[in-house]
Amino acid sequence: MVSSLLVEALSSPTDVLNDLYEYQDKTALGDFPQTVTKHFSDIFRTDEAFSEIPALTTARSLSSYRDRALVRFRAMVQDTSPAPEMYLSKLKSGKCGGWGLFDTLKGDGKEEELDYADLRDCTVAWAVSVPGESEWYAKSLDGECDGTDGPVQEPPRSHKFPIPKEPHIGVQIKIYNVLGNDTPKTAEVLNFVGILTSEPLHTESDVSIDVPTLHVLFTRQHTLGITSGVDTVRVVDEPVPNSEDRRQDLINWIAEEALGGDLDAAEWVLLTCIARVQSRTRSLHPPSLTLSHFPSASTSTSTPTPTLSHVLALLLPLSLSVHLSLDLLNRVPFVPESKDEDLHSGLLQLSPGTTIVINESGVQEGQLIERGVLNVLAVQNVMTSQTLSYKFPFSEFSFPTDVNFIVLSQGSKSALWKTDFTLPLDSPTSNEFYKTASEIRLPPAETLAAFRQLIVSAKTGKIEVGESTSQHIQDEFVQERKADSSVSSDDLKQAISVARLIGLSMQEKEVNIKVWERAKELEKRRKARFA
Amino acid sequence: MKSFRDFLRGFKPKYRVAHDRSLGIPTKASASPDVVERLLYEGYMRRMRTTGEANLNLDCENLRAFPPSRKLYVQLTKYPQEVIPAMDQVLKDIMLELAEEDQTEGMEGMQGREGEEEITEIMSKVYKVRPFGLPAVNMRNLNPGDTDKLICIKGLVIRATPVIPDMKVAFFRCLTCNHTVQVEIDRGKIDEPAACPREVCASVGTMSLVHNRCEFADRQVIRLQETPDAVPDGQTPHTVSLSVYDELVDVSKPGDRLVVTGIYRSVPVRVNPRQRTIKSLFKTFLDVVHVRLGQDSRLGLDGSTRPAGGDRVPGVGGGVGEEDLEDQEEGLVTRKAEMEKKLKELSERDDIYELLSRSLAPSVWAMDDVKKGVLLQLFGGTNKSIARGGGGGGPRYRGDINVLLVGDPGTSKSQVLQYVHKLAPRGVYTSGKGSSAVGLTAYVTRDPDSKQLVLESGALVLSDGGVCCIDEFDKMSDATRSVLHEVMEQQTVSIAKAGIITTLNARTSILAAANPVGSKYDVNMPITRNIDLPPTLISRFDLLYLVLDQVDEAIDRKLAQHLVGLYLEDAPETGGQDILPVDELSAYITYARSRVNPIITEEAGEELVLCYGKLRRVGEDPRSSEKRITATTRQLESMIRLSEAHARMRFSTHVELEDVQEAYRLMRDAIRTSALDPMTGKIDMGMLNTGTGQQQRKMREDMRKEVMNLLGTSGAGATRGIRWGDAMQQLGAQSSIRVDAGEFKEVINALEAEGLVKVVGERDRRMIRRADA
Repeated sequence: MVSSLLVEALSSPTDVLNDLYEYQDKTALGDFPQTVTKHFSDIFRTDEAFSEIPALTTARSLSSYRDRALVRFRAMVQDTSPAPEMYLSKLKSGKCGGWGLFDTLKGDGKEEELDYADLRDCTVAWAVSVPGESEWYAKSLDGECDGTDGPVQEPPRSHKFPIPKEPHIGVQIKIYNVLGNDTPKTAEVLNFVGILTSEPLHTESDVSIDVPTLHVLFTRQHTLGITSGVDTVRVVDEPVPNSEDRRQDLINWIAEEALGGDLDAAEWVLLTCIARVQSRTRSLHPPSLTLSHFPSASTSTSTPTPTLSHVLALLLPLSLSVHLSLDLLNRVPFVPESKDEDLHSGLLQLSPGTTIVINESGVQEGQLIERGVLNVLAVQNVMTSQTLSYKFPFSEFSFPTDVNFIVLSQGSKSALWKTDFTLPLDSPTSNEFYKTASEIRLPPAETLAAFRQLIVSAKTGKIEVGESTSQHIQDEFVQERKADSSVSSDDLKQAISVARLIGLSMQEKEVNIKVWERAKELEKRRKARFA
Repeated sequence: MKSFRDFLRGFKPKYRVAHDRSLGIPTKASASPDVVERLLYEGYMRRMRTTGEANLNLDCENLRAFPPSRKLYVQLTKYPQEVIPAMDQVLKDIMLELAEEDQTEGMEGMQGREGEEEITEIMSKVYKVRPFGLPAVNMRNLNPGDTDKLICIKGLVIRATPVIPDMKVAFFRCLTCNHTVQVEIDRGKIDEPAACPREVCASVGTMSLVHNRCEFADRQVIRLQETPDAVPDGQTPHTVSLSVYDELVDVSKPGDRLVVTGIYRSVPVRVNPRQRTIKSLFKTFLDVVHVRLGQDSRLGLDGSTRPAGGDRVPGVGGGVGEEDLEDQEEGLVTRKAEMEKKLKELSERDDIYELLSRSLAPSVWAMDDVKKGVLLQLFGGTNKSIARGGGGGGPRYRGDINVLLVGDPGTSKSQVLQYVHKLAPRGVYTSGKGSSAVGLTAYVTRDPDSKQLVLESGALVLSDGGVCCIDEFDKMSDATRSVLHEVMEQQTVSIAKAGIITTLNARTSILAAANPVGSKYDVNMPITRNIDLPPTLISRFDLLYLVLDQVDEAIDRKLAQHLVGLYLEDAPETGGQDILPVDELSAYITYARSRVNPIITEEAGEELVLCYGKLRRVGEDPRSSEKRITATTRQLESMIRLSEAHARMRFSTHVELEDVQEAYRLMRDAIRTSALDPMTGKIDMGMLNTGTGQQQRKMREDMRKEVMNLLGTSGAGATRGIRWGDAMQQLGAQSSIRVDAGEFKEVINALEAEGLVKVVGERDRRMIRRADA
């Protein structure tokens, strides 16, 4: 029974929609969108069923999908500013309206009477592929793509995607449900399931262009984790017995492959990656890290992407590598800006949990124009307050972000930004730092999967500071202040946040004295490097 | 329509009062009975007649308040398209009726011929009723159910088109027989006659439009965007289109906040204008009937910085002038009355000063005096202008208080700034590091649409009438900082760029934070050496606070507890229980700034003089005759501003003794921390004003003498000169205190400028020679 429903829904969602409308109680047509959502989300409740739906990915060109095919799209909501759209919920023929179904009226002088009582509105938004999503992660969720690889054409309205010149998909989303407080928020990542069509863009301007449009049947929350979809990971819920060893293996591997064997640096990178915003009201933000004395790419190597970026792309679900240059700063918008009532995306419009690696090596002497200055400022703001101001005419709106920063700097500290931590690299042997992705020695698949699992669970884990530990920390702080007056409250704050992260990476439930001491040790070794 | 007629002829303010009471809205303790009993709208209509105004603003709340017209309110909101034209007609009828009545009664200006003329004029006019006063709904909540209903929304104008001529009546002429036909617009469309209506002719397709005989109305399309306070979390703002007609065109400009009443419309979209197919997609817009320029209490600007008479009076149709405005506000006033009462109650608390300063940045520890200073800055002194001077305006004295915080890193300076930025009316936050001169002042750019040069204002101009918070003040480039000189004293920004020469107003208080040189404050050095800022700029700050990080076990322990507490799962304590929430504090400040303008009493004046004298004498040393400047008139002015601000904070109309005393205390403490000469332990204002203290000046004098001595006496020195390093060394040997290299250089430079010595060579090889040798 269920399977036939499933097949039907997959093959001809439009027919299912029309059938549903037939059986809908005609007195309660206002509830029809809810009925649709319930019907479809029931069919695809299980992960297996869900993964049956073809996914919209960059691997397949949009034209290869049937018109009105059922697809799912894991997307970042880029823009929610389009006004709601009105549609006729009942067609002349008495059939279902909406979801891209409409009559084409012949307006030859005598206009057919429209029944305004049948008008409903739907929420319109613009969604794009999740920026910075790692290949392995996308594959684990979308499955291997039996790609009918057409030439990837330049998607329309590429200014709506944060990363310039990156292949991506952007679609117009139409949600027919009344959402109330559950309207999608900008930069949020959601799984949209719906019918794919091509429709004119919903704007006020007179020139209309056709854009891919997804008529949403239901949405599904997307949680960062390797639980849904195809299981590339077999160790999902198994309590990791040797988490301590595994953690060390992971650090070793990062150090070996990307950081010239510098273990401490690898540990700091790991800690930075697993941090997230803890509390906005108390401004407990993830720390940002600068790796200083990072060797610059020798001119002979064609690829300026540091190995670290490749390694992180292998480990993290979401990461982004930015090769900074003056030109980039002056030219590329970092902050989303509304121009002519269209919200253009900016490099920093990233979904929560993204780690961004900024390589300063490309910055030469030269002048920063105003946009450059504002871009630098915007990055600093996201680092320190984790909010990004989108520019609108006559006003700015601040949106929360949750982005981790790793800055690679050639000098003794970052030239442009003030990060929470700066760590000089220990062994700058330059050839190791700019390997291509294919040169990286991969660990066995299970180990790699375990690494990924470790990072994701650390990122989503919870940890508290124990009562006795907190007393210990307080005492220690007072003592230290007595001994050395230069110790400030910021030092304490940083030490506690490092301790938390170490605890999380060790899969602890509480920051205990052991963890605290480790954090102090790590911090001490970092400071020693400046001596 | 009888009910509307009754309403216009019978409405008295007392109905409104009763209505408001029944809804539990506090009303103004109203006025004498004859005010309550007068016939409100008859009065308005008489005024319309005399002023020749054709629009009547109608408060829908009044319709509801008047029992016979209660049903009309519902009808109006549901079927505005039918009801409003009917109302227009009724209005015209009553205008005529009223005019005739007045004529028979022989009212002034309505007798005989004059009256006849008035009546014919009324006959010729088109009267319009412009309803307003509906509860505003959120733009997001507009749904198809609201189509063709009367609604009211608030928002920010982001774009307005030029005036578009909108055809109302089309004029067609037959090409064969020259027969003419007029066709009126019907629901946004004009039907072109397919054939000539004259039976004799009846040729098909010969009717052509004659443009200059058509009738047009002014129309403008405005895009209205949601204001930040209305947007739910994580959402980008929505926009709607407004169509405004006739008198309402050009009332609002981009950047204005509006409260708009209009009819919500949805029309089918023609996908391709050339094809005649219509998809069942719809466009929505608002046909505006009433516009009011909104005032947002949180963004309220300092009224006294604006020219008298307000920015722009909504040319909406006054017709009803001030009283009407008052009436419009009445609804708000009654709703605000409660808040006002609460604020007044607050202001009467004895510890209001402490309460407010405690509520300012509650997450920041201690720093009480700093908070108090910043608090007074938020209230600000009164702006004074010599109104009776030439040309009405006259120069204006600054009432804004500028505060500079200097201190060790990690002492929550930035947090205080951030907080003020959130709180202050028109607060603008900028970091010195990231702000170019452009960002702080104004910038000439070419408008992409019109290709004309336009001025884009930066942070300072934007914060005109507010507070501009500048973090990392010391890291700002010199060029940028120099702009501030003008801003802080003259309160203007002058621009001379790309052919545009202008002076923009930047009447803003500045709250700046800076780090000392070498990031840690050296208590053994005077402040000017600690901050890398030109003394001329430092002296422009009314208050200068040093925020130092001192080691103290008790404080440290509390601090550690506070911080660790943040990471525990429990809610952290916020430094005291009894604090005002941000919006209340903000309302309090806005209210005080807009309503209270304290005047200095005689007693306070005397105290000011006294305190100034005291302040000037602080540095006096009975044992020596040398004069040390501890206070200048700038400090006196600051003190006046501070006392005014303090009085304002108490909602007091007069500056009294206690205000002056508190201002003096703040000034003295701030001076004590900042202008203390570490060598002598004395306060020396000269140090802040010119950068060199009395002591330093004396030292230089001595050094200069010695240098000349050296050059004069030593045999070799007299002829060949003396090495730079050697001179330093020899001086050091003579002196009991260390010879500062910088000081030495200053002295030599001065000597060189006077032409007494010559310096030759580079760096270490520099030789000092007597000029005449």
